[in-house]
Amino acid sequence: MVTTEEVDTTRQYEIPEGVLLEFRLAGPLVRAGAWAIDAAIRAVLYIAIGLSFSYFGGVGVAIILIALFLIEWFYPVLFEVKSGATPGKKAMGIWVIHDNGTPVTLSASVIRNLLRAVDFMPVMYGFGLLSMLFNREFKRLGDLAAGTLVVYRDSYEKRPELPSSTAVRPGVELTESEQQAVLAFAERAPALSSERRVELAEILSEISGRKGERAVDGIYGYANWLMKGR
Amino acid sequence: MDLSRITINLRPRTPWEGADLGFALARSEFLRLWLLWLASALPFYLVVALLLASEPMLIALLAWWFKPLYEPPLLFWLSRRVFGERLGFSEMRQHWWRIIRPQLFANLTWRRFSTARSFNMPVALLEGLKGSKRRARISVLGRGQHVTGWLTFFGINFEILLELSFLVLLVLLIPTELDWLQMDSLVMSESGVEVWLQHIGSLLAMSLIAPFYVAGGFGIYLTRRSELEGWDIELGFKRLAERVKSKRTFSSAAAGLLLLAMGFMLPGEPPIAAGLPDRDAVRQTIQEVLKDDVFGKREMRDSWEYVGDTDESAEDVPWLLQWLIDIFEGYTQGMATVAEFLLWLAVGLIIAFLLYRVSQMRDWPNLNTLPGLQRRQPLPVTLSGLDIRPESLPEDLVRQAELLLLAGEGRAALSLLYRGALSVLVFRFRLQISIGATEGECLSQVELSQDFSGAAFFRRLTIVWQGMAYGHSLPSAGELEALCQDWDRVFGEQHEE
Repeated sequence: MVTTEEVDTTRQYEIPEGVLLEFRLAGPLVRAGAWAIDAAIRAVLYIAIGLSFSYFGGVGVAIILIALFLIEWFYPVLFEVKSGATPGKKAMGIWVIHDNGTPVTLSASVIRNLLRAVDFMPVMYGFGLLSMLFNREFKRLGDLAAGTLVVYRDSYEKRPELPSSTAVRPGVELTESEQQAVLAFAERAPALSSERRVELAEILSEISGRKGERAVDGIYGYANWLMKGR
Repeated sequence: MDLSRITINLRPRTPWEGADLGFALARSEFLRLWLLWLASALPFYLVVALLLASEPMLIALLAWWFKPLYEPPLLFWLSRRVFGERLGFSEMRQHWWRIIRPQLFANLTWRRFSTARSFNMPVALLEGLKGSKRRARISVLGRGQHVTGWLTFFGINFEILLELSFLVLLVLLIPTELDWLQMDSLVMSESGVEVWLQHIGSLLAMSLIAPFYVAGGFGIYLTRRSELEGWDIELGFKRLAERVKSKRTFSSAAAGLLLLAMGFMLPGEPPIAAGLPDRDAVRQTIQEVLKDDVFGKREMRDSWEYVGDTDESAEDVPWLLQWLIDIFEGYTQGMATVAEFLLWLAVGLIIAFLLYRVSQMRDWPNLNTLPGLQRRQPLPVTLSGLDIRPESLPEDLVRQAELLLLAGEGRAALSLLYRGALSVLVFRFRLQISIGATEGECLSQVELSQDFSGAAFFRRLTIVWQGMAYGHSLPSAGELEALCQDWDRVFGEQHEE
């Protein structure tokens, strides 16, 4: 039976220069985690402010109310404009960007955070959750209005050391995705069981003409050639 | 398991992303999964509701507790869907019991408390492992997979908030005047229609979240297995092997043809050169592509267009000159500031002087009167409440006063003298006394007057009069006698010019 496109949680955007950017969208689960962390931070702030200003009578109450208002509405805006992510989002490794991949601006951040009021309805982000579950890009209503995405932040990964082996040029010309598969094998094979390693390597015995551990070694050789051989 | 038929994009993912993958899967197939869940949950719920109609809380609890009963079909369907197979409802019905039966008792008792239910389910259901094997497998798979616990935790929260949202929305949408539902009774009530609404709400919330929960756990499971077993590598290698194989068969066939046609072939030709197109053809294609407007264009316009002010002053000025200009500019600006200050000071002084002058002008009515108009003013007939018309006074005023004085009417005599004096001043000497002037004003007017010499007497008379009129101190008879004689001397008829 023929099925549709491959399911994935990425979104692609082609910039005018023809470069294809790929974002890994963050779903409701990780965003709920980020929200919970932020809510905890805000709760601590509220308690601290409430305790410290409650001794100042009417003026203290006024200051508490103003502080509550400012924190409730502008806590996310402040952090998103500054670094793209609130402390909760940062802890979860996600951040907010525009649909086209540029860093979120003040206006977009204000829109997406003011619309929390709508997402919050009827209680505790009921509409926001439904919107996130059923939107193709996990957007809540505020994201739809502001044109923003919440995505995983790519971290700089240290290039893993490849198993040393003499560089061997593959017998066939490899496409980009095939080269990636060869490199991925070289990077991750040491963590696989030896049987599985051999099983995977023998898929390519047609090309390498080798069997068993020698086949594994052969692919390490290809990987080394791809990395530094030419 | 045939990875080449897989319909998810295999790539290394974090466990969070694994859950997201499951969510995306659940969303794309939501309706089927939802109906599949309801197909087991709704009948169960109705049976329980019929049996325990008097215990609504128990119904809700049982419906919630028996979740592991409705979830395996979803997982089974998803596992087939991932490999490109969409099972129909009839197929699912045939296998239904076979799908949910394995380890059902364990699932519904002690495993019900597991925080990784949807993640562990595939091990039992899809891999068919039991007992210690299952435990060992889960311990390997579940290493570092704390996200599965969070999935359950947030799943519960999502369910609760969706149920509350449903109830609150219901209350919000019913006009308050109708008063059918109350928020507190809707959430707290233990009987009546509210409880059934609670049940509908919880059933809806559970059914909405269940596909995402099951698929989320399955997504994490797939991600973990793909990572542990290198599924993405296997798929990549298999595709590569397949491509090479098909190319080999093709190229050997082509080589055979070539051999037939030309009688020889180059065996060691590198694959790179073989695939490269002609250089000139490539150039031509590039030129064609570059002709597109997207890559820039030339345009001629023959109409004027305003391009804004061109600021030339700042251009081509040596720095020294610029420095001098700046200094001078600063100097002139300083001067201008001083001048401006002086200007404002002058304006302030002028305004202050004008205000001072205005404040000095006390006699406002006279401000507008011209000297020539003064004579036209009507002569007063009464002053200080006294009738001063000449006809109201006796002919021989002094004699009359002396008679009154003899009769002991000193008060009347003094009054007569004062009235007479005023009357003479106004009607004979034409003194300018405005209507409504007080005694003091009359006196000052008299003293200012150039034409009249009896001011000293009038002053004496006024003081005595004021003393009597306001102080009730009647002067002695001798003093009044003297006043009468002096009056005659000052105002008498013989003095008339």
